[in-house]
Formats: sequence, C-alpha cells, structure tokens
Amino acid sequence: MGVTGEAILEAIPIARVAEDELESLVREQARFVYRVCYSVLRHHHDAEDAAQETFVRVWRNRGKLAGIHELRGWLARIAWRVALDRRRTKPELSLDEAAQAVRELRAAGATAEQLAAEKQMSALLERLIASLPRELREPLVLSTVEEMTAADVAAALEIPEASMRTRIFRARQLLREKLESALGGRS
Amino acid sequence: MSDDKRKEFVDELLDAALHRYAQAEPRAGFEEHLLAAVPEQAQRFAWPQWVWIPAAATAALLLAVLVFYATRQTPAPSAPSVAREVPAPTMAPPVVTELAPAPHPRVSRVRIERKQPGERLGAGPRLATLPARAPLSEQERLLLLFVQQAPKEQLMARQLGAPIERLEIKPLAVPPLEIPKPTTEN
Repeated sequence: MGVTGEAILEAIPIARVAEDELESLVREQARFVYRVCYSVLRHHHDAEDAAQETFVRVWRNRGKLAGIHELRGWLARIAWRVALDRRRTKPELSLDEAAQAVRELRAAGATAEQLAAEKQMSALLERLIASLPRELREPLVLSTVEEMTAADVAAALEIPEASMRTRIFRARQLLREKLESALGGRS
Repeated sequence: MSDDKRKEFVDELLDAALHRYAQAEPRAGFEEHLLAAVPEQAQRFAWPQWVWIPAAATAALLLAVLVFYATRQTPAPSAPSVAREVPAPTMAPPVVTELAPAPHPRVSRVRIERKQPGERLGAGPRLATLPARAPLSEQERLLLLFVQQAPKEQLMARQLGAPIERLEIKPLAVPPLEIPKPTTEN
C-alpha cells in the first residue's frame, strides 16, 4: 500500500503544527534553558551547546508536550541533566587565589555590589558552591536562575518542595559561613 | 570592622553574588540559531524506535545459537559402561580362577617433559580405541567372575525384565479322616 497524495497533504499541517510549537517554545524558553545550563556549566559557549541539545531532546519527545503540566520544570530537568553530562570541572582560579583576590578588592574599599560584579568573586562563589554537598548544592544552584520558582526547582530535581526549601536554607547558611571564613582570614 | 558589620557585609555580598550567579545572556540571534539547528540535528541523530525490535531479535537469535553449540560440544560425562566390557556369558563349566591383584604399575619417578615450541599439546601415541580401555576395577572383576561361575538358570532369573513365574498354590484339600471301626471280639 503506497502513500497517497491525500495522506501527504494531511501530514503537512501536522508537521507545521509541530514546527510552530517548537518555534513558540524556543522563543519563550530559550533564555531560561540557557540560564539553567549556564548555572551548571559557567561557560557561555558550553551553555549554548547544552541549550541546543536540550531542545533537540524536546523535539524528539514532542509527542509528550501536550501531556506535560509543569513545562518549565520539565524543561529545566532536561537542561539540568544535559548540562551535568557536559560539565568539565576546570576552575580558572583556586579557592585560595580567588579568596585572596576578593580580600584585596575589599581592602581597597569595594562595596558588596562592586565585589559581586567582579570576576574574582564569581570564581570564589563558584568554588564555595562546588564544596557544598550535592543535595544542598543542586537546589541552591537552580534557585539562582531568576525565572525558576520553588515549584520549578522541586520539579526539576524531583524532590518535594518543602525539602527543597529546607535544603536551600541550609545551603545558604553553610555558604555564608564559608564565605565569612574565606574573607575573614586577612583583610 | 565589628562582627555585626562584617556579618552584614557578608550577607549582602552573598545575596548580590548569588543574584548574579546565573544572570547570563546568550548571544544575539540565539533563538534563530536554535530554530535552524534543532530540527536538522534531531533528524540527523534520530534512531527510529522500531530499530530496537530487529536488533533485539537478532541478539536473542545469536545467543540461542551460541548456547546451542556450546551445549552440543561439551561432552556429557558418561559413566564407564560395565556391560560393554563384560563378555557374553558362556556355558563352559565353571572354572575357578584365582583373583589376581590388579596391576598397579609402580611409579618410581615422574618425569615432566618440557614442551617444545610448536609441539602439539598432549601429543603421544595414537590409541586404537578412544577412550582407551581402563583396567577392570575390583567390582568389575568380581562381577565377571560371578557371571562365569553362576549357572545359566540363575543368570536368566536375574535378568532385568524377566517375567516372574506365577506362584500357584493348589487348593488345600483335607482328606476325610478315616476312623477304624472297632472290632468286637465277643
């Protein structure tokens, strides 16, 4: 039984709907997906590649799109896994180097906002976050993505929302202690 | 700097740093790049789902063939057949033979020969029969002796499957008691 012309004509709108769906999804969620990937990879090109791979996976599973209620959570979960697979741990600065650089900036009179914008502070925070236990680190990192609600983070990590909030609280507490210790050495 | 001020500074710094942590923007035109690349890349590496069915079937078939040949080539451990070794019973008059002790060659010295390069493993003189006949064990020799000496009827009765003669018991017959008549002498 061959493929009739009518069948082809019927299939064209279906394909077009799928492409339209992809286009609207990319336009609405591309930056969000990119940021989730960036929060893990901390590298622009790697984050772009990971975001692309995330949408490739979404495209392959486009049949499931209609049945998904928490779209952001679902997307974040895919992006998170893709990014974790691609992560290459190669920090530019060691913890001591970054802490020393931040201490020097602070001694020079930089405010908290100014310090936060510095590359050295970003590197220090990255190293401190990396030193956290995994169950605390993952919710904290995802919560730094601006668009992620608590429900999105919980859905992405497949944990209850209450547990996720507790973990983020503990992670911030631990991080604060570590940061205080890193900055308090010699000022 | 006092402790309170330092803690306040650390809090402020941490909040600001975490806020900036994932604040990143992709390059301009990122969405267009995705729209162009995603369908193409998805089709390039897409494996149809039905590919797994013939692949799994082929793997299962190969496994079955492998298992079949592996079990076929493994020689089944067979017990040495005594019946084949025992000659047919003859009707010759029973001859009392003395049991000679089984020959046990005394091994005085074990010599291990080094294998020469290129030499076949286990190379030795070819045997006429395979597997080679082993000397009879004590039980086998006793059985042979029994077969040679026992009368034919006994052997036949001991054959497996031989019908057992039906034991017929004749009905019990009690002859009438004969009482001698008393003689009157008067």
